[in-house]
Amino acid sequence: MTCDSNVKWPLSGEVKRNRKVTDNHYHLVLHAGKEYLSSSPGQFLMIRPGGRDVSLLGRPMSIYAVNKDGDGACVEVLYRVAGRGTGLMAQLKEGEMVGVVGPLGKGFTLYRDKKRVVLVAGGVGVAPLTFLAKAYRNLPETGSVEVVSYIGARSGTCIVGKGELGSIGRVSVSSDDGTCGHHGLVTDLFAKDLGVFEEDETAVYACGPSPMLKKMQEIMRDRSFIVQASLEERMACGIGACLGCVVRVKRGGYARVCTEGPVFNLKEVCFD
Amino acid sequence: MKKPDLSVNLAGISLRNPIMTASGTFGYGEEFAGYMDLEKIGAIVTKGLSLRPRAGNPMPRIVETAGGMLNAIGLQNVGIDAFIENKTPFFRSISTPVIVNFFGNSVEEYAKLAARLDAVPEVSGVEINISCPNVKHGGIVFGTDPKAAFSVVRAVRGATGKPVIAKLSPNVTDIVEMALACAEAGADSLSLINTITGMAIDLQKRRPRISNVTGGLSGPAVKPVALRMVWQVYQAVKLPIIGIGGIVTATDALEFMVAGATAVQVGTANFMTPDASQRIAEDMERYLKENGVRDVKEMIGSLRV
Repeated sequence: MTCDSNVKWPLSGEVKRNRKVTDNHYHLVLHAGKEYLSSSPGQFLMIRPGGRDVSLLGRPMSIYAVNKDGDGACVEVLYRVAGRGTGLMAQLKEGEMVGVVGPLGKGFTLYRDKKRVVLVAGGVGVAPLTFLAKAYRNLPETGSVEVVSYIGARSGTCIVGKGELGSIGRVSVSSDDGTCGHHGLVTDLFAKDLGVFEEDETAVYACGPSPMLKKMQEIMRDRSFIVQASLEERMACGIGACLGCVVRVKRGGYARVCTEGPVFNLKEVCFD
Repeated sequence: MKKPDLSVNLAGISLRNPIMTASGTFGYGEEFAGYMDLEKIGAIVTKGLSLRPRAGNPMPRIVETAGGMLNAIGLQNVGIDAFIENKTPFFRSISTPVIVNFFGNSVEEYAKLAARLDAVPEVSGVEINISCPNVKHGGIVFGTDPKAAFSVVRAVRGATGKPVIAKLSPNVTDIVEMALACAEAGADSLSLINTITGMAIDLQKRRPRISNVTGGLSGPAVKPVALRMVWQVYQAVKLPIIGIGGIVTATDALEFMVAGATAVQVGTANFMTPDASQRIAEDMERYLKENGVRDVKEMIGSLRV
């Protein structure tokens, strides 16, 4: 006989819902501990489906929403099925347990003195930015802050989160194949509007794959806007130990995306 | 039945149980304090330390592979000065022994580090990473040449009174030859195995999946190799052995002890679930209780062949 317990992990969550929302995106809702109620926009979780005996590292996922749920929290993420880990996640059924570690990392800074917030999202990068938009809406003193969003995806069928951000402010959409909105990159769409935003009254936030963030950095190079970006990176541990998720920073050396990030001042990051 | 005795003595270091954490997978211990009880494991082995800070390799540094992962972090670490100043205060807040893994690029560097660590009271022992290139001698890896390994261990032995563990590389033809060389040089204990050199390729891009092209394979995929090497070394060398390689469950850990290990190190599993080492220690106690084993030391080398 073997000696391995089948007790539920203390670091676990229960699947409440796992729904396909586009051709390749899923919306996962977990019931987890009350510690998640303190999550801030931009923070993430490590989610690990498959149980202890399956060799699999956790997958970092930005938090999409958090709400009170009984004596714990209801935590939501959006994910794209891209490989083995997210493939296993897509098979999760209601009531199943998954490993969850979080909330992790440093989130976005909310600027209470800005008149306008601009969000630029690529793919599932829309998830933390939606959480952020709602946080701005919930600040009592910023009821009048304008939220402007740009959402890009490969194709019109992959656009996620448009409805939700649309209920908060103006949304412009782009697709690489032209099947929805602007035909081209979301960063180009954003750049065309850049002239109308006052630099000292606007905070810009971006989340998406590295090539998109690199483009954002180029666009914003000679501007004085505050630009915060949430970086996507593969991770092994998510808690600062493995040093597998680093990014080169302008002040020299590397910073850990999981611990010093995932949100960075975009101007401080080197994309090579 | 009474609580089984899980304590082991590792070259003079008393461990409350045989579960240690593997260097490079547990940071400096403090990273895991929020996810587990550090008082529930036998010892902590910290991230490999060098004389000067090291930035490490470019990205990508890690990739998941079948049954494990490849890494080429490039020995990124804070360097000994920052380690002593910023990391050791935390060690005073826990009673679990801390063993410091370190490496150098010359015999002199190894000796210098050992001497510095000898003066740090929070350090219970040192683990020598000999899987590093000898810069002064054409970059040949210390851990693949018995003579070079001997000279490193001998120099460290002469520089510290603390227990010395030599961590063996599996990337050799004959692990026993390496173990004998380290034993003869005065090591108090041997830990094995370090990662196995491997590679992963992205077919579409025809590019390596990590920037260093090759990296160290760890995780359950390496366990059979590690078990075999522990068994071989156990038969040839009298020193206490620390078994390492793909330990995810208490079953894995106890298999290493049956093969001859006095203690084990949990590595990649710490990444999968941050409380892995504590869970393994708890599950091990349960196994011993359920199987009427009063003392975990009865397991060591109990393989029936």
